[in-house]
Amino acid sequence: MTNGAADSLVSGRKSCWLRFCANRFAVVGLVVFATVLLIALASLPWTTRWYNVQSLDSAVRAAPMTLPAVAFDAYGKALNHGVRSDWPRLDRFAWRATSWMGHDDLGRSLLCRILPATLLSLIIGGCAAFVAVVVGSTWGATAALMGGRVDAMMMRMVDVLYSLPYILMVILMKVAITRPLTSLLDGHAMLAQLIILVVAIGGVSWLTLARVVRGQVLSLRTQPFVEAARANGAGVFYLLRRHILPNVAGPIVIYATLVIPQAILQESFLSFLGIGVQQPIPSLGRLAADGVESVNAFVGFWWLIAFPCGALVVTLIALNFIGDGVRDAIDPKSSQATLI
Amino acid sequence: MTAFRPFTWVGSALAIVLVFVYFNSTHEPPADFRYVNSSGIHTLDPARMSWTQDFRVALNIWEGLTTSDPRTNQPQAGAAVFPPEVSPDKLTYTFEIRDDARWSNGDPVLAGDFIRGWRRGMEPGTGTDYTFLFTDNIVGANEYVQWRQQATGALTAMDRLRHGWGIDAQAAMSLSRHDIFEAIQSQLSSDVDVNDDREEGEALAGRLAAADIDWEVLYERVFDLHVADMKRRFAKVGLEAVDDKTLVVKLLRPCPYFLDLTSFPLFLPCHASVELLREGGAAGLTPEGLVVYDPQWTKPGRGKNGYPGLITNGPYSVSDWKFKRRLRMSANPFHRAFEMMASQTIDMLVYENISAALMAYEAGDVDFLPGMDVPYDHEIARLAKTGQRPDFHICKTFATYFMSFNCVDKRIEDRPNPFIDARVRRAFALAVDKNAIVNAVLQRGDHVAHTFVPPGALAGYHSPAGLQMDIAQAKNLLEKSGYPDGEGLPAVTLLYVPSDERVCQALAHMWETNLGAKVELRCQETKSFAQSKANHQFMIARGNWYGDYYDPTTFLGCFDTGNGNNDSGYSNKVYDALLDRARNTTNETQRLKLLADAERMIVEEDFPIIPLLHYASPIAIKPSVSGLFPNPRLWFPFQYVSVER
Repeated sequence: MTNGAADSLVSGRKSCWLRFCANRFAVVGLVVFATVLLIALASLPWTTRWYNVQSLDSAVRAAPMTLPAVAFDAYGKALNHGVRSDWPRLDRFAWRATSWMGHDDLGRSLLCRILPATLLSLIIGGCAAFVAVVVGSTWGATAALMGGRVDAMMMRMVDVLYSLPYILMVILMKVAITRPLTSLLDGHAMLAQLIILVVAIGGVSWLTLARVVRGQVLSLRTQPFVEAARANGAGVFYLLRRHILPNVAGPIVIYATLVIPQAILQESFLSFLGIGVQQPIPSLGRLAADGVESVNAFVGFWWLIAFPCGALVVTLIALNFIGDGVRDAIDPKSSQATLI
Repeated sequence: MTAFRPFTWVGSALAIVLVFVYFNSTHEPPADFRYVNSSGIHTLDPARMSWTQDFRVALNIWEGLTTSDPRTNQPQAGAAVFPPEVSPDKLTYTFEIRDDARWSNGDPVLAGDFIRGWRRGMEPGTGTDYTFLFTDNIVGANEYVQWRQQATGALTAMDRLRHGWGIDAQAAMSLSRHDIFEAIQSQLSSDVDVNDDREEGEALAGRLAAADIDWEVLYERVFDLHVADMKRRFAKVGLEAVDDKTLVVKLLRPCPYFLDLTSFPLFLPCHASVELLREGGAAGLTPEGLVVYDPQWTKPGRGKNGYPGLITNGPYSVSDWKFKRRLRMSANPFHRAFEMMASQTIDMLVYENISAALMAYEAGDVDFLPGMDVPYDHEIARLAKTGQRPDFHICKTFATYFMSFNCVDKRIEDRPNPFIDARVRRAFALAVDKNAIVNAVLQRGDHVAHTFVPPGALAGYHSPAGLQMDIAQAKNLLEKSGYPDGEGLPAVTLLYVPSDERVCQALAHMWETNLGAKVELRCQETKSFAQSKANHQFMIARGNWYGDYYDPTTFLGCFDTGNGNNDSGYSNKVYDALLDRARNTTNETQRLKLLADAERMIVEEDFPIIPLLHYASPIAIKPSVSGLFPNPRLWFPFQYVSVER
């Protein structure tokens, strides 16, 4: 029986990939996402040095494509470069690119902030999704396997957590662990903040997954092959590892792909409210929040809001397409390959 | 037909709701003049006020002995004849209260009403942050306040002891400072010598609770004695109502700005009806010995004990106050200017969001915005300066925006605080490009500040020059204090509130690039920020100060050792001595020179703060409004305002 399950998983993988490729939206999403990720990663050597280079002169709120010549020195200094003629070609190209999305109200290149911000949002979102998946599936599977009073207790805990407003939980978590964690990390406030964000978002996103997994496991538990294993004296962990987890992998993967964009959105939302990462580290929500301040009845510095929001929207849509594609690929029964 | 039935139901339900909403909303006519206060007012009790928006209302509903000129804020005639009679030694002021000065219920304003109002500002139960304005200037006020504070401290402790509640170290120490302690001490098992030490205080508190003393009897004795003594003690304060209409004030030392103080909200009168809401028994004191009034006394409309509602003597009186929504003032028919006042009703509307207020202004629902702290204020300033919006005005204010250093605490959050060294503070001050902050970051048209007292605002006061940006010298200073190129310098935290985001990021970047320092930005919401700052949990923190009266001391007093507003914890004997000498100097030129010397210490040597800018505050006045004038304190008397509709 176990052999058969493994076989179907292998052959399933291939057909999964084929089904995924057949989904046009999913492929486009994957390509866009990969491109964004690649650009963000490839630009890191520049953006990590330039994201906070301020040019408090003509560059302040300079529109896209207007090249502030004065800013050259500051960017060069950050790269330890001398006069302009000494710059390598690639650096010169990078410098020209800084103006593509305009400059913010401290004369910082918006592009140099959006690229690492996207990466940071992805990292936070990915880590939070990972935390959510690990906690949620373990919790749900354990509850279902233990059954009885333990199951009831664990699921009531989920119910209680469900009924609490998640923003409140995030703020409480942040307040509770910021100080001890910062002192534990030897004063690395930045790292502590990231960990708290990941833990906080992950900590509130696992609830749905726990319920889904519990339901799946409950129905698996009564399957003959599980009962047979149990009759042979298999323990809870053996059952989990050998029979249950491989069989619920599908729903978990599907859910995980959908949790990532959700977590990114939550991170942006928290940063938008000012309880995410601290300045001057850029995150998409933070950049959008700064941009919103620039939109008013009198004059619109549109690029300050358009580009951060655009980056957020593109990343999220791409991820959602990928998520939908993966779901359809893994579980073709769930949808008739219609997407929207 | 049956298919339409649900719609009929929904429709009639909707109609009922609409009718209900319609009849439930009040249909008052709009006020003659409407202005916006961003967060609503905190209090209408003049003795407790410390916010400009509260002052603005108070100065329209009350009238001091003098009032403030709507353009220049210089003192002018108020409830008293102007100018008052001043003795040749400038120590005695005799105010003659005008015959036509009346309260909003028609009662004449009496000299005693002023004494009542001023006394509320001094009493430990009612006065707050500004008590020093009395104790620094008026004869006997300091002695009276000290005596009262001591006695109420002791009474509070004994009141707890007689109930068997036990007391804390602080209460025990305040009891030990009172005269009655000698009698108690003989009954304690051994002699206690209490200095200002927490542990000793705690030990004493335990001993007092355990001692075999009949606190009930002792408390009654002290309380009765105190009540009997109060009148006699207060009579020694240099405030005297010679008759109903004559108030004589005796000053400790000549105070060139005293008539400016008498227009300040703390020096407003208080109508006798407030005594109806006084708490405590026959003596009018709470068990702790405090004079306390029911906080409802500032509400319009009848209250308990036959209280007629807030009675005021200004051009307006409060007719309706919906907390956090609206405050309506209507003209006081007994005020001498009643006939001339064009605006009979004034609405103070509350918009928590200033952008929304600005939209209401643009839509014509509001006539006046006394502040426009919107994130895009640079755009507002540009429109005002280029003349594109003639209804936007820029007020040069008597205020300074600065960054404070923590000068006292050796360690902050397990990190050594480099700013106890004045050289490091100076290096950080020298490395700031204030021009860039004012002209590039904020673009509001503020004035670059090199001094704490806004220069040019005070006649005869020659401000020190302050220091210009000098990065080479800053680096040099940092090296001398043991941090060459910022090496070894612990990560510096910069604490601020959300509205300072841009400035603080720019500052951090300047310190990082110019000095090699590592700066951590820490943004806190306003309330927790205020707490952190008061508790000294910061290395560098934002701050601002609005001058309360036209004298350098309103600014410089902030750095006197032990001053309640000295958040930096700056303490320098030479500075204190200079201020002290200035206080006791009769020669005005000499006094201002001493004060300028004191300021020089702050802005050229010790730098407990880095002055960044003097605010230029944008305000919006509809073109249809006349009689409103930009002024440095942003106090706006509405009695001169008329709106064409």
